Amino acid sequence: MYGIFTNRTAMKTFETALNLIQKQDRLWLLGWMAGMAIVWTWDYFFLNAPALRLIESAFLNTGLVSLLAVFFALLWSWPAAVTLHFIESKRPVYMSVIFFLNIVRSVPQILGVLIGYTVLTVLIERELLESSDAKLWAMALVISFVVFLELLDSLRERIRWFQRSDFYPAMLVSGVSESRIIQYDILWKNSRSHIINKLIAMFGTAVFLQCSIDFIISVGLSTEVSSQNFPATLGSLLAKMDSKKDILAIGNSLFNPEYIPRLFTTHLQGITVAFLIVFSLLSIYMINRVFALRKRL
Amino acid sequence: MKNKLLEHGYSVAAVGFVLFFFSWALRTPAYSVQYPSDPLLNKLTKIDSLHPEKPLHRALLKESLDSFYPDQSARNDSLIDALIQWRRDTYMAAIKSARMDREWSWNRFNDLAAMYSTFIVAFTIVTALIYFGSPALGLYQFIRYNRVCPPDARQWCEACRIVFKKIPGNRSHAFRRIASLKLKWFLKSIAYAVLFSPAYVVAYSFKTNFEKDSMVFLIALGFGTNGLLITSAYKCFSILTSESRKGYVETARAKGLSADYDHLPMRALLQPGKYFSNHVAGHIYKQAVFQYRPALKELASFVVTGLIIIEMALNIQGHLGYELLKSVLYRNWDVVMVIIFGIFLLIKLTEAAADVWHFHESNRYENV
Amino acid sequence: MTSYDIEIASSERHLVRIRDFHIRPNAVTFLLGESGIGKTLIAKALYGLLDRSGLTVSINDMEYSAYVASPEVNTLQRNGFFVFQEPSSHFHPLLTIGEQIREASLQETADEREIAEHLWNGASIESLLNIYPKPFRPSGGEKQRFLLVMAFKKIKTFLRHADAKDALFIFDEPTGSLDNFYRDRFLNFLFACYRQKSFTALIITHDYSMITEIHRRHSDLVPKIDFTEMSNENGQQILTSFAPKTYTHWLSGQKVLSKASNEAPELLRLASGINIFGRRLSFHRSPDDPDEVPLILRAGEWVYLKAPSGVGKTTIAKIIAGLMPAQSIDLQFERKPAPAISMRSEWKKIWGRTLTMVFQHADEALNQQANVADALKGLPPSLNQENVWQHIQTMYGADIEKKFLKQKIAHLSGGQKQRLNLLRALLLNAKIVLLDEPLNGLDFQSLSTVIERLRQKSEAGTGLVVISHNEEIFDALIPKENIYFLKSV
Repeated sequence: MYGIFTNRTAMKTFETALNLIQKQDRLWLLGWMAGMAIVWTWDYFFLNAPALRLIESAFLNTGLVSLLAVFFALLWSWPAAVTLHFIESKRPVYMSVIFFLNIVRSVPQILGVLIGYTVLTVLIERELLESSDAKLWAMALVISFVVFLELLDSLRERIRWFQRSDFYPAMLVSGVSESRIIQYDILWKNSRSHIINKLIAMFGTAVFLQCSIDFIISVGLSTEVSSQNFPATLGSLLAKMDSKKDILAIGNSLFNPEYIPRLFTTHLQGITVAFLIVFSLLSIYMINRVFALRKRL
Repeated sequence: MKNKLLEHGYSVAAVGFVLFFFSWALRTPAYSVQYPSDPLLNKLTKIDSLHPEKPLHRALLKESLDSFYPDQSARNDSLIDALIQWRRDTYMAAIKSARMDREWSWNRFNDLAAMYSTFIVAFTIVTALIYFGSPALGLYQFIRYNRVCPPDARQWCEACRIVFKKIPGNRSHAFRRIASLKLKWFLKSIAYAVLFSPAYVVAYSFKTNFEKDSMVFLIALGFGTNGLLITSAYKCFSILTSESRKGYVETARAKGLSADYDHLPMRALLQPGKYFSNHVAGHIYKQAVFQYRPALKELASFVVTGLIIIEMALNIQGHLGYELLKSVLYRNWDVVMVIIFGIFLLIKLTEAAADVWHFHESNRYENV
Repeated sequence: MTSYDIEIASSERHLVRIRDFHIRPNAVTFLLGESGIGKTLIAKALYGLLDRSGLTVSINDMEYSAYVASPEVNTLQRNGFFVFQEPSSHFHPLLTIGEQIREASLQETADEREIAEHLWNGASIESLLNIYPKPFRPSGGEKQRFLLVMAFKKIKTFLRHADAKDALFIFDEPTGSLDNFYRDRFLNFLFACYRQKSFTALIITHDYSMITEIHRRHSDLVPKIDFTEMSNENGQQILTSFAPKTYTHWLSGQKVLSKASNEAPELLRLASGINIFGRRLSFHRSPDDPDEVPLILRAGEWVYLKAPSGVGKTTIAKIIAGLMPAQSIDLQFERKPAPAISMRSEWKKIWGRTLTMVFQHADEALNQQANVADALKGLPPSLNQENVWQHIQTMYGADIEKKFLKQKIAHLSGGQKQRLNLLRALLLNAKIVLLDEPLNGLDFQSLSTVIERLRQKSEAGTGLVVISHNEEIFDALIPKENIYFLKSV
């Protein structure tokens, strides 16, 4: 195993690679993808085909819902930030919107998602929401409402920051239109990195919330809000009885090391799902962190 | 300050009103027993002492029916099945309706109040642990980030080169070094995996049944999983990093304060005040902690999210989150609204407390 | 002679590359030149304070960490001090001023009284020592002087210790927030100390009028003073010795502008006596004159508004521009009352058309992430690109290349940024231009270009209101009747 280091160049390369991992967000992205690819390849050979297909679709659904949620969140917060800026002089309207937003901010995210999912269940029961695509979009919509405030706050913080400096008044007295200053100069030109950084963080939150809520409603007293109604995601897959047994095996193998090899064969389904969730959350966090350090945010 | 507190008060009132309205609007009509139309079945349902679920009762009933209606054994069987089904349905409906229609009794209120207080205790402990733990962890990350001394990877390479006699050195020492590094990385990756895992992944690795009295377990999960600790630590880390680029740090260095992170003793991290004598880290930390204070507000809502996820996902009986989930599933809207209101109140109180605290702390620096 | 070769690069580009930077030991070196071409970076590198993350630094072909660890640098640091520019960001917000000027190597308090005496002209600083630094209190000028107090404490210690040989004192724009009176007191005190025992000092500035002051009052030290000008040519920094005569000759060659006739249309009238933040601001003909006069600007005229720093010159400009509210204000544009500050839509018709303002920090006033062409877009009325190019050529020289338009503003030098900041205002057909420190960050060459362009603009009928601490230059340009003194009660 140490063989690769006997060569000086190889070791240099190894050092540079480690250095890069610490510094480069793109490498973390690559690492994430590579991790996924390795797991997939392993599963391809050692996991039964139906289970693999289930995991694939669950992973894609989770990714898709989270991506959509982030996209929707951007879609809400940009116009909201601009509008809030323009109605700031209309005190009563502005104050009531802010009052409302502050209330929404104080509602724990999981409660928001739970309320949203309850509404979705009602819609599904009344057969207003049938196709699985529509369900995915609706799930994303619910999550986006819960997370978008974070981005809105950060956009407003950016606008306020530039308003406090000479940047904003200097453009204003040059006759540049306010909308251009806010949207082009402040948000587009000067806040893109901040927005991307926030979006990455929100993507992580979206994955986490979605897995959690799906896990909860699948594992919960599944009488009426049945997980069967929602498309399979990593969370609901993890809640399945056999996946839970697989996870229990992790704890088991910590105390009985001879049990470890079985984790990668017998208990593959649960382990894969758990790994996908945890490794994705870790990678997203790392990408976010390194990105922020690189851009000096 | 007064305005802020008033706003908190108003929002509690507004939310209370909205929730009350919903629980009123979503109330369900009173429940009445529906009797089957089959006359024989109808008669059987009226016999209170008959429990056909019990094998003995079932056998007796079957025998009596067979003796009354011989040659209709199949019909008798299905009659008994239908009776059992009816009793089960009626029972479930009764339970449900009992939950829904039951007047707010002291007992019920006490149950909820007990769950709520348990929740508050868990919430307070977890919030405090994370709130005071994350600056220390963030500072630890910050100091490590600023160190220029050989990182672990380089030490590993060096030890490997000694082992393979590429450079001179003590080989047994190098072996030990490699082993300890391996152990360190292993523990570190486990710690990272736990910190980023959703609570239910960690919890189900250890057990499948979660009892009412698993408070310590709940707190440990709330503190260490769901990425809560690591994200708040990261928040501190980024405040520290951006503060370290500020002008006052440069001036402090010109005054002769040290900026050498390689020889900064890590034990200072364990002191409550994190006092670094003659080092810029002290200056940076002081300002960072001040800026981190308002984060207590958002932390409150994240901690609640984490705890509720744990209680719901692990089905911890007798805990607020589980009760909430159960009530949502049974559509007991009034209980749902009361619990949501209780949680909202808890967060608002924390926010108000954080506002007051921050106001007083900042006032110290207002030159008044 | 101590000579330095310095190279500083980020992962993307070369930031600084200079050869043979001479700093004469035990002499005072003035490093002049436009801002933003790396003067501060060089000074920090020399003093061993550069934040290495993301930068590759080498000094005299030595790796930076080795340079910083060398005993010579340690001695310089131990005995010396570094006064950074932008004083407000250089105080810890949660420590009192007193704590901060008595920290680490500054613990000794013996000399504080004498230093304060000089820098505050005898006024007491006791009340300031127990306060926490806030954006407006102490004022920018006071904060600047507290940074100088720290430096002078080290200088005094150095003077007392006969065995202390090497010390490097770096002053980065030490007078940026000081008016001429306090600037001269600082120079006086510095040279008084220097006369007791010489030390090495590097003073970074773009205040060329210091040259006149030195020749007037400290001519005995002229042999001990070097003036070096740094300029930027194709990404390579060049150091040249600056002959003080270049400046003094140019200054004496400036003709006073003529006062506009009384028939010239009145563009702006602001009655004296503006209430803001519980203070009353008034206009006077001279500092000692108790009589108040209204501020009047006619077409084709320059008006110069003078005051010690911290009185509220920028505040007045912002009030005129409709960016700041004030009580009891009587403001007229072209003999019509200006709209109330809350009437945003009315002001939007004025901004960029009747009136515009050039803010003092080009770094803040321009969108650093945009390119040069973007910065000149979105202005009313939409400008003809050919026309814009001609204006750029008059501001940056005829040999400027078209690719300049595509350059990111963040990568321009400070002088280029400031000229762009001015150009944006000059391109507009505004009748009134408010100029807040228009010569900030300019080197001598571009300073004269800017003055020329402003002269042309006023000849075309525009009225200019100037706020500047560069009194020497504007006193030479603007007729006495157009100079107003701002007082605050």
